[in-house]
Amino acid sequence: MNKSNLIVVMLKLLLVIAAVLFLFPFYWMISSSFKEMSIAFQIPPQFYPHHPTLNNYIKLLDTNAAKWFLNSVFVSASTTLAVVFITSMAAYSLAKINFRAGKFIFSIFVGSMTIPGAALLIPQFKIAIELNLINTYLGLIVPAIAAPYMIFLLRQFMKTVPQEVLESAKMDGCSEMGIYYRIMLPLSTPGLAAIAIFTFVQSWNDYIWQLLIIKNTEMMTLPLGVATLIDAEAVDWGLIMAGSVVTSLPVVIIFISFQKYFVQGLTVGAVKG
Amino acid sequence: MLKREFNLLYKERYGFLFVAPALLFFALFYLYPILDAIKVSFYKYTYYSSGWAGIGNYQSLLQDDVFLRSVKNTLLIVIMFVPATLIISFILSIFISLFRTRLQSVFKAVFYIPAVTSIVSITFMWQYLLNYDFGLLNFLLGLFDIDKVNFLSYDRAIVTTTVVVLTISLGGPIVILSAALGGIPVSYYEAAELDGASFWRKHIRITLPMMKPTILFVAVTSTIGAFQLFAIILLFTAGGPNYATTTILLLLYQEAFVNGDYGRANAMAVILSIIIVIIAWLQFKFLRTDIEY
Repeated sequence: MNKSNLIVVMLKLLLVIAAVLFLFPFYWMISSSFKEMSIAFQIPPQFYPHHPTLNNYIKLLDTNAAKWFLNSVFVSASTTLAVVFITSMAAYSLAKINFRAGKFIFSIFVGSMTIPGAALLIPQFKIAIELNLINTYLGLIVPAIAAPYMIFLLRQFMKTVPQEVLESAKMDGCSEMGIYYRIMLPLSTPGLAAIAIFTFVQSWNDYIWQLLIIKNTEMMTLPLGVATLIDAEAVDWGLIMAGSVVTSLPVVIIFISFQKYFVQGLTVGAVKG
Repeated sequence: MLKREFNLLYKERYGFLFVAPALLFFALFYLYPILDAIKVSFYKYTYYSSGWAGIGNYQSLLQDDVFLRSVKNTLLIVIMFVPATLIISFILSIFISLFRTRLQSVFKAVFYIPAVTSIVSITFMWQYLLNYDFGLLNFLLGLFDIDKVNFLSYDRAIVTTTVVVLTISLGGPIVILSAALGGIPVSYYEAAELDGASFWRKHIRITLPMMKPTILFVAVTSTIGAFQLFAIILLFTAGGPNYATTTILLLLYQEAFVNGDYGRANAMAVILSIIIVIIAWLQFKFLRTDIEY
C-alpha cells in the first residue's frame, strides 16, 4: 500500500469516528428513554439499559402527549398544504409569467430573507392579537404561509422547466390556470416535495411562535408539551428522554425517507442563488 | 396614455393574480411587521405609557451595559461559529467524497439528522449529557482522572452553547459543499496526480479555489444564521448564567415579552438587522474575488 492510499484509509476511518460521535448523543437519548428513573441518574451509568423498560413511554401517555402528537400532526400537515398551494402559484408567476412588477416582487421576497425571524416576533404577535389568533391553531398555521424562502426555492426549480413546453400548451389553447395545474405542478414535483418536506419539518420543530400563541395545555404541540415536562420538581430524565424521542422520531423518519428531496432543495438554493 | 397603461396591466393580470395570495400573507406577516418594528422603535411603547420617543430608545440602548454585553456575545458567537462551520464542513465534505456514492448519502444523512431534530429534543439531550452531577461526559472525564467540568459555568457557557449549535448546523453546509465538490471535473485531479501532487496539495490547489463561490455562499448564509440563532439558546441556557449567553435576540425577547417594553425591543431588532445587512454586504465585497474558470 503506498502512502497516498494509506492517507485515504486513515481519513475514511476518521470520518467514521466523527459520524459515530455525531450519532452517539442520539443513541444516549434513546437508550436512556428505556431506563428506570433511578438508573438514568446512576453513576457509573449503564451504557445500555440492563433491564430495558417501557415505563417512561407509559408515563408519557399519562400526560397529554397523545393529544400533543395529534395537534402537531394537524398543524404541520395543514401548514404544509397551505404553503404548497400558495407558494407554488407565486413561484409559477415569478418564474414563468413575464410581467413588469415580477422582478420587483421577487427582489422584495429575497431581500426579506436577511431579516431575522425573531426580530419580527413583536409586530407579528401584535397582528396575531388583532386578528384574534391567540390560542388557536389558525394562529400557528396562517403566519407560516408567508414563506419567502420557499417561494424563492420553488421559483428556482420552475425556472428550469423549458419555456417551449409552456408555449406549445398555450398554442393548444391551454389557459394560464391550466398551464399551472396541468403542466407546471406535475413538472416540478421534486421542488414541491422539497418545500413540502421543509415546511413540515419547520412547522413540526417550531417552538417560539407556538410558545407565544398557545396558552393551554390541551392545545399544545409536541415540542411545547414535552418542554413542560421539565418544570416538574424532580426532573425525571428517563421520561424527558422518552418525550424527546417521540418529538424527534417522526421528522427523522421523514428526513431519511425523503433525503433525496432535502438534498435537492438545499443545493438548488445554493447553486443558483 | 392611461388607456395603454391599463391595457398593459390587463395583459399582465395573470402574473399579479398568481402571486397575489402569497403577497397578501407576505404583506401581513412580513412587510407590515418590518415597517411596524421600525416605527415602534421610535416610540415609547410599554404596558404603562406610549408616545413619541425620537431616538430615545436607541440612545438608552447604546448606554446600556446589558445591551452592549449582548452585542458582544452575539459577535463572539458569530466569530466562533462561522470559521468553525466553514472549516469543519469543508474537511468533512472532502472526507465524505472519498467514499462510494451510496455511502456518501449515508454520511450526509448522519450529519444532517441533528438539523431536522426538534430543538427541544436537542436541548434536553445535551443538558442530560453535560449535567454536572450525573452527566455522561463528566463520568467519561472522570475515567481519565480529569476533574468534573461545569460546562455551563459563567466562563464556559458561551463556548459550550456554540459547540452545541455547531452540531445542529453542519448538515446544510456539508450537503451544499459536497454537491459543489462533486461538480469539479475529475480530470483536474488526474492531471495533478500525474504531476505528483500530494493529497493535501491537490485539495488546497484545486478544490479550495474551485469551490470559492460555494464557500462564499456558505460563509454568508452561516453568518446570517449565526446572528439569527435564538430558540436553541433560549431553551439551552435562557441567556444565563448572569447574561453570559444573552444575545441581542434573547434580550429583545426578554424586553418585549417579559418586561413589555416594545419600543426598546424593536430598536434592538432594527440595530441587529442593520448589523446583519452590513456584515453580509462586507462579506460579499471582500470575499468575492472573481475567479475565471
